[in-house]
Amino acid sequence: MHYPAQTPEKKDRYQIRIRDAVPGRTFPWALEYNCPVHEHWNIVHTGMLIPECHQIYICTDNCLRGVIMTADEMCAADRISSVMPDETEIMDGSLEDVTIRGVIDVIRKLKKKPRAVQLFPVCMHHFIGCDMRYIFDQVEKAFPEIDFMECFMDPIRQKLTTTPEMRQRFQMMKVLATPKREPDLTQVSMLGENLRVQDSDFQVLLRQEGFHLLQVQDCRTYDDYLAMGNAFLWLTRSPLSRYGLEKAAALADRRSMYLPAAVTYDEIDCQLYNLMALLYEARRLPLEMAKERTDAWIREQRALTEEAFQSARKCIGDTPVIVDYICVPRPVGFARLLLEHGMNVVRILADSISPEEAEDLAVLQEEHPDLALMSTSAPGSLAEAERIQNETSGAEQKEKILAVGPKAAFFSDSSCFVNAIEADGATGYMGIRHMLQLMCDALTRPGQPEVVTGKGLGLPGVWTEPSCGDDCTTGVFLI
Amino acid sequence: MKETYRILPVYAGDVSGIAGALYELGGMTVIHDPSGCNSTYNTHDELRWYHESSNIFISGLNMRDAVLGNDSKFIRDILQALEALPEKPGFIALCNSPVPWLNGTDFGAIARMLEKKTGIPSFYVPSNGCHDYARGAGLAWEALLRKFIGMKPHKPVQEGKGGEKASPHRTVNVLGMMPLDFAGAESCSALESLLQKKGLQVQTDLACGAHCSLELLPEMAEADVSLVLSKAGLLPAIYLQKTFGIPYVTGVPFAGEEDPVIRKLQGTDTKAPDGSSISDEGEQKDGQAPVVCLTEPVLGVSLASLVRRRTGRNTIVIDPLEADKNSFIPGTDASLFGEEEIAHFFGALPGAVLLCDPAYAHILPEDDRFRRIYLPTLALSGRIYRKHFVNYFQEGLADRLISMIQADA
Repeated sequence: MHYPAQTPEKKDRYQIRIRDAVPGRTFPWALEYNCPVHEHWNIVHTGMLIPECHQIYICTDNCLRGVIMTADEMCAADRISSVMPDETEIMDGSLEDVTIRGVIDVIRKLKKKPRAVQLFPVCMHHFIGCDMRYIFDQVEKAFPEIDFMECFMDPIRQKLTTTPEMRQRFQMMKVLATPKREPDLTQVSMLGENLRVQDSDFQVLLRQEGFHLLQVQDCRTYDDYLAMGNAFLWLTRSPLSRYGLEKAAALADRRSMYLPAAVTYDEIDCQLYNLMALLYEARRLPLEMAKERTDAWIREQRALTEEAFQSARKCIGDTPVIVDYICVPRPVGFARLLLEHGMNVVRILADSISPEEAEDLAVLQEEHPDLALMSTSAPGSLAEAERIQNETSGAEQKEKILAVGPKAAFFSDSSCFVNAIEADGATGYMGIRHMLQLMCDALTRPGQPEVVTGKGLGLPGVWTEPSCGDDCTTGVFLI
Repeated sequence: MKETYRILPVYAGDVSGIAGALYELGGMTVIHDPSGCNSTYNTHDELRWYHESSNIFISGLNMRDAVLGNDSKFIRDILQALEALPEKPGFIALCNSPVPWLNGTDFGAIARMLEKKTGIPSFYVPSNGCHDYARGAGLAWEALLRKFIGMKPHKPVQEGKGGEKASPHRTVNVLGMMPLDFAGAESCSALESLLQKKGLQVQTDLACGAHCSLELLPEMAEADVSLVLSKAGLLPAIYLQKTFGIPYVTGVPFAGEEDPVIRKLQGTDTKAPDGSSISDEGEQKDGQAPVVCLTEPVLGVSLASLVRRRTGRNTIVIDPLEADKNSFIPGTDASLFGEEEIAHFFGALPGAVLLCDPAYAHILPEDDRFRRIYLPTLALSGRIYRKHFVNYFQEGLADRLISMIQADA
């Protein structure tokens, strides 16, 4: 397989050497290609995590289609509704009125009244200057018993200010802040997370220290969800949730902590020390004890992780590795970690580099300056995808590539791929070992890369449960 | 309230129709939109994206550029993207979501600028995300034809060209054969094979297959007749009829029988006027619960005709797409738009056999008044029922449908 090391001369650069990368938007905002990988979650998937919560979108046909089909594909058609104003209503100043009347009409038509509603006005509401406060006030007045979450689906603002995901997550946490309740010192809540926490150091440490970790994935009712607000400490790992977590925790008068996806040992250690210190401080226990217990955990985990790397090296050998940002939230840091442990990382797929990865980037620029960094959305990425597909289709002997992530699978057309998003819910030392295991599994148990076209990996839906799309017992299919 | 949808999905939008219509023609389609239109299209409204990509991009418009009218960035980005493509596209088509429509972006001027700077034929397809795919696709094909064959010297319009003579080698323009309406595997080749067996040669297919290319567009003006397979194909058919005098036949032919669509295409039906439909085929009989076709209307009218001819049962054809005087399909009995109208209609209808997309199950009465035969379409239920997509041109399909309907009698 060919990995161009030279920076293309063309103005549209889809691939550069890591030494030429800068933190932030490495590839400029321009025309965007959308590759057929859709396993990452969107606002519809995230919103569905809250039980007894209904979503209502107010927009035109084209925009509605994507969100409705997202819900339908996860067999949740009954949890989403829409209001579709026509051209005239958008232009003649009646959009506010149609929005209010439409939302009220939808809620009245629902077979069961929801406990909460996420409302999603869109770009055009901003653009024509709708009075959003008035809209939200009116619908809240009509249904005072329902908690309304003021979300937006307004990607026109996402490049300049907070994204729809960030604001939605804040709204999802804000309902936990009122009314104010006494903090429960035995509970810690994980907020703003799409995936259930698994194989994570902090999860085990919390359990060992006697804390109960609450997760939205365990909630069966809206009241269960509201009870998550009782926890004295609110955590998140997602950079998209940090904005909401800090604002909502301040409103609720709760401690909060952002645990970004650390990948280097020092970073992981630092997070664990901070977390344990906070837990011990809350219980008024000596901090020295927290340090001792964390030290012991770290010693054990470092040794286990180094052993895991030794095994993984035997399994993976010199196989070229491609890492994408869908699978690991810190692709640059993870590539650094693998390279430092003797793996053959040849390409990172990411359209931007988080400032959180500045140090990792600097290290790679020093140690591996020719490592390729490829955009997944530049127009040239489409040509690259076509080239790879043409190169590999019908080829008798394809070069084995280990693709870490669904986008890596698509852009390498490799059947040896880690089909995971958001680190599969794992973090820390245990998370590293979890990922190494997935990488070895990918080499020994190849899959069909086409599965990456499914939406919302990990959710029930037509991609994982065939019966979901065939449950029309009311009729028969012609074919 | 007509604007509200409690549970029913909306049909694919105009932008998806445009992108899908132009997919295999070797051009570049740019959607002026903040985000999501391309993702929605290629996830839910397009089956070809994974294995056979096309030059379809979005602009990623942001609020500042929209408010300030920064069209120069849009133009510059398109020019830069062209440099990244391995081959020069055959055309540049522009379309858009609501905000560029609201701020009055002059897409016609932008297309002219692009054409001047690049030498690539460029055009705008009127759109705003507020309409359905059939309208978008129809306008896209019409704009394409105006651009590529509109300037050719016109042959004199031949009155009644379509019904003049029967010929074993008549050539046919195939219009409206998009996966959004015809997602069944091998539909494109099955239609060609069906036509060939009846002595009809596909001249150009605007949407898919071996006869779909820019190079073949000028030859459309030489075809004997156009076949309109869906509402989306009507606008290009009318354009070809008005400009070159090419008659068109509206309907979906079914294999394995004396199909009236085939008869009209062959020119053996002397009653075949321009735009002739098969709506008059088969007699309605009173006293039986009707067979209701709630599908894309050209397909619906064709299915209804088949049912009347083969079973003698009454039929009702409902067009669930946008009602528009320019795209009325003869033979349609009612045009119902949106969840509320359709739910209301079925609430009042006595027992019937219903042919529809399974998505409608959400709003149909919960009793067993209707026997339902599901015909999933990409344009409504997306890829959820992809295993059940129908190839309407395959042998035995008509017999299968009729036997399923009669099983109810």
